[in-house]
Amino acid sequence: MEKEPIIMNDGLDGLFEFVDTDSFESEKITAPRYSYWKSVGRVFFRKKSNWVFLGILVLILFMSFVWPLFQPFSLNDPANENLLHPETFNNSPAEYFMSHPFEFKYILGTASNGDSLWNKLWTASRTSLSLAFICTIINMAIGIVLGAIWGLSKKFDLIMTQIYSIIGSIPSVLLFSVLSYVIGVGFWSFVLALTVTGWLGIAFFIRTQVIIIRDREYNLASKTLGTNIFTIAFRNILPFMISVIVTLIATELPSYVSYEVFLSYIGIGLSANDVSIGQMINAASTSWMIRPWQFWPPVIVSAVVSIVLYVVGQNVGDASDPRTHM
Amino acid sequence: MGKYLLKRIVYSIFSIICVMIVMIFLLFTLKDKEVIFQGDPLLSKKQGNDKEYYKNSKWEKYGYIDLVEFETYINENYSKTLDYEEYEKAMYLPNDEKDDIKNPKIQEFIDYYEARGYTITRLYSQYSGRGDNKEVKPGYDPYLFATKNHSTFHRLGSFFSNMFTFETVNDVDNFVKENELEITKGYYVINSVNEWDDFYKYWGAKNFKLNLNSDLSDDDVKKYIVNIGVFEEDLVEAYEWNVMYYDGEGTFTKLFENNLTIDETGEYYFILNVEKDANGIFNKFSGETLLSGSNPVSKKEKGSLIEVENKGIQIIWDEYSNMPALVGNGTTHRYLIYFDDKFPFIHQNIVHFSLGYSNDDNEVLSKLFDQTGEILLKEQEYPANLGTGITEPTSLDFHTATYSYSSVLSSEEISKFGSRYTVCEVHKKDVSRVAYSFFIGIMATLLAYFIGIPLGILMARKKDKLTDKIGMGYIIFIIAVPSLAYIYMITAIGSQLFGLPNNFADSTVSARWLLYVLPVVSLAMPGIAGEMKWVRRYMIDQENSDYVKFARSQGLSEKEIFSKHICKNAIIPIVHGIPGSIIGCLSGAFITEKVYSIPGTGGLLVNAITNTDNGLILGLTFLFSTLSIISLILGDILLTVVDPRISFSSGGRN
Repeated sequence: MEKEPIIMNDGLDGLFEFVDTDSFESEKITAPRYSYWKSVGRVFFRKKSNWVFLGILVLILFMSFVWPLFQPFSLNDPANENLLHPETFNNSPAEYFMSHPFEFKYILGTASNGDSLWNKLWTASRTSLSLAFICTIINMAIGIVLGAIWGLSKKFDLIMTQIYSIIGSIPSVLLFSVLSYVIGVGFWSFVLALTVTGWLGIAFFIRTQVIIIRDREYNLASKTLGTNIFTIAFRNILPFMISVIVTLIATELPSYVSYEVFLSYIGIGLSANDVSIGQMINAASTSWMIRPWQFWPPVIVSAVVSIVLYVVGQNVGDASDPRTHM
Repeated sequence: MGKYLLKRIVYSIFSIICVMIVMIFLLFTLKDKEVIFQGDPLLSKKQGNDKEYYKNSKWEKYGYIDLVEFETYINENYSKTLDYEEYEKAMYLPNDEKDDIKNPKIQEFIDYYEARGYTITRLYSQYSGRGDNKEVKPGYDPYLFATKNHSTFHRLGSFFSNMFTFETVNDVDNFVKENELEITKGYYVINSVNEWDDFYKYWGAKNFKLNLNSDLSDDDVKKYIVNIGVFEEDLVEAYEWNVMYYDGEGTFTKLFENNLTIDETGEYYFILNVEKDANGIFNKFSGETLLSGSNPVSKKEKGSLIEVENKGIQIIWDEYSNMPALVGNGTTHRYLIYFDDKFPFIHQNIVHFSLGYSNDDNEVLSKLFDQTGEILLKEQEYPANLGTGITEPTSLDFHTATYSYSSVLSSEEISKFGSRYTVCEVHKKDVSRVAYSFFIGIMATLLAYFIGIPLGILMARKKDKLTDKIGMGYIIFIIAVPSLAYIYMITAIGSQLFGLPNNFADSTVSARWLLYVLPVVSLAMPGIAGEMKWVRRYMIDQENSDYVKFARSQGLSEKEIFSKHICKNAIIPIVHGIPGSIIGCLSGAFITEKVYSIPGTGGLLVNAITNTDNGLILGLTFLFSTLSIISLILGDILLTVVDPRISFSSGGRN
């Protein structure tokens, strides 16, 4: 409908003009812009202790992934002259510097074949951390997707619960030893062995969480309106669970470091050519009273890595709960 | 509730069967069967045909395949129908392929087993030298045998069908009938330690009857028997062998005895000769520890063993325990129900429950429940001397006596025992593996509940205050630090600061109870953290619920609200886990037990897995998964007891 121009003769012609009603602008919300992840960051960094933990984490990550680039380490390295001098084997830092000039990489003493313990430690930490990160990513990805469907579909639930109880009864060590026998020993087969059933526990956890949320009214409404199950799972329910998932990641990450230590301890871990935290702890554990300098550094690194990952993960989890964003 | 429980149990049985199928598939199909020879010193010493045969016989022993030898086939089918000459001919296994046609039984054997899906292995000899100097190379004797892989379901079936056996008064008769005694004329050659094992199993006793001299007449054969006893402890090192005189009517007299040590080369070939001297008296003998070469097995004559008289069951006054006991005659065990001073104090031998055998031929259950440590000598009266006061130092546990099927029990032994129930277990100094693990586990569990729950409650009451934060720090520490690491920390603190002993294998420790302190603390630490975490969580959840707000608005004191209302409700989910944590103590704790060298159950499964001891793995997995399912069901039942609101029957509470 065309508007009739209203004629005003009060000398203000031309200063004002009429505008149309803008239906688009009228829908705009004038509240301050809210970005979910920005708020998560804001809440997370509000806590001063998180800066410290994050700092330690970055330091450890730097030492694990960057330091070995400058000081590469490998077992039985021909460049290691100490191999030829048995008197340098198993030296504590004090013993070593008594007979040798100061060198930073021997600050922790030497390993059983004269290797620099400091360099070995960070290469080992790189292996263990990569393992933890890769396994967590794979298991979480599979676990979350399948867990969401598991929780929503009742037919799938019946089958999966049985499978879960059966696989849960099989000793994981056995599964692990059979798999590493079939596919060989090495970093990637270790990853495969840890992920082949590792996702099941995560999926079960997610399933329980989904069951708690799925029958709330908004999902019921969504279902009645004909939304399909995948949309309900990934649009309605998963965003609700971000804090739960982040907390889960926080417990998963250190658990792989611990598990690697355990498997190395019982002798079915990575191959002898891989340097890992578990292998180091295991090798030093029998003589830990005599040579504490070989035992404590890997233990401390794994403990610190685990604690930092756990605390940072917990705090990210807390921060990712939108109710804390006020 | 009943219907619900029944359904749960049916589901559980189904999932246990599935677990076993998966396990058998993993162990026997996915893993190559060659893996059992890793670290087998005997295999590297074998060569040629012997090696091939040795491998197959091992696979049969470990349950991979069914193996039938040509000799066994002939013996089973023709020993009764053929006379001596024909039998010898039927047994003839030529060295060379071209001679196979001379013995039609070979083709018959091949056809018979090929039709049944077996794989036939025929190994021919190889020679060294030429012409007249031609000799069979060592290890290249001819072999003929048929093998067949067991299917997964066959293995599953045999696992479950061998699970229960019942004793009857006809046990002994049945056994004797099935394995009629054989008296072998000629040499008997034992080829390997495994054959000793087979004999041991076959005769079910510590005595083996072996014989004899090819020069002996048939009558003599019946009279002289070489008896070889094997001491279980170090199978390889100590063989005792005796030459016994048997008068044909049940009396045995020991003629010679000797201990001999088998040589260290690992070749356990062993031939015994008994020779007559000029006067016709059998007093010369030679025992040699070596000899490969042919195995002159010859005709086997069947005899039969002593019949059991006065079969039956009766209640007697048991002098060993000064309690009544049920004893049987004709049953495998002498004592069917009896009391003693060992947990659980009353024992039965009527129903025998078995979870299969481990690779070293022990029952899986006896690995768990038998005593450990050194042999314990006690002054005891032998059964025949009961009441006379004549005691002897012996380690035998007479309550465990089983019937000896051996053809040659010395008269000395029979007079001591008063019957043929002479095979006993021995008393040992220490408790069983399960007892170690269970004791340490239960102490740690008690600590976890009695310390963890109050601390959890305290943390919930002081939420976000210093106490709560310290508690959270502890929980995070336990979750994040690898258990190996904090166990070593506890060990270091305990032994450096408090001087506590930390090695169970150390026999110099006089106050044994002090040894338990560090393991219990190591196990309790994660338990305490777990209880704290969950109690705190449940308490805080309850605190925000409406009934608490209502109680508060009604003016109840905080103390009353906490102790009477919140605690009561928060503790319910904790109760659910109690049966699980008690039963879980049976399966032991791997790292703790290894660090403190505790001979518990924790290491059994892991070691079985690394040693590919399939029988042990299957038995233990079955046991532990059944226990965990039982404890889940018990937990649910307990839940309905402590919280009447919970009901598992579909109709709900009336």
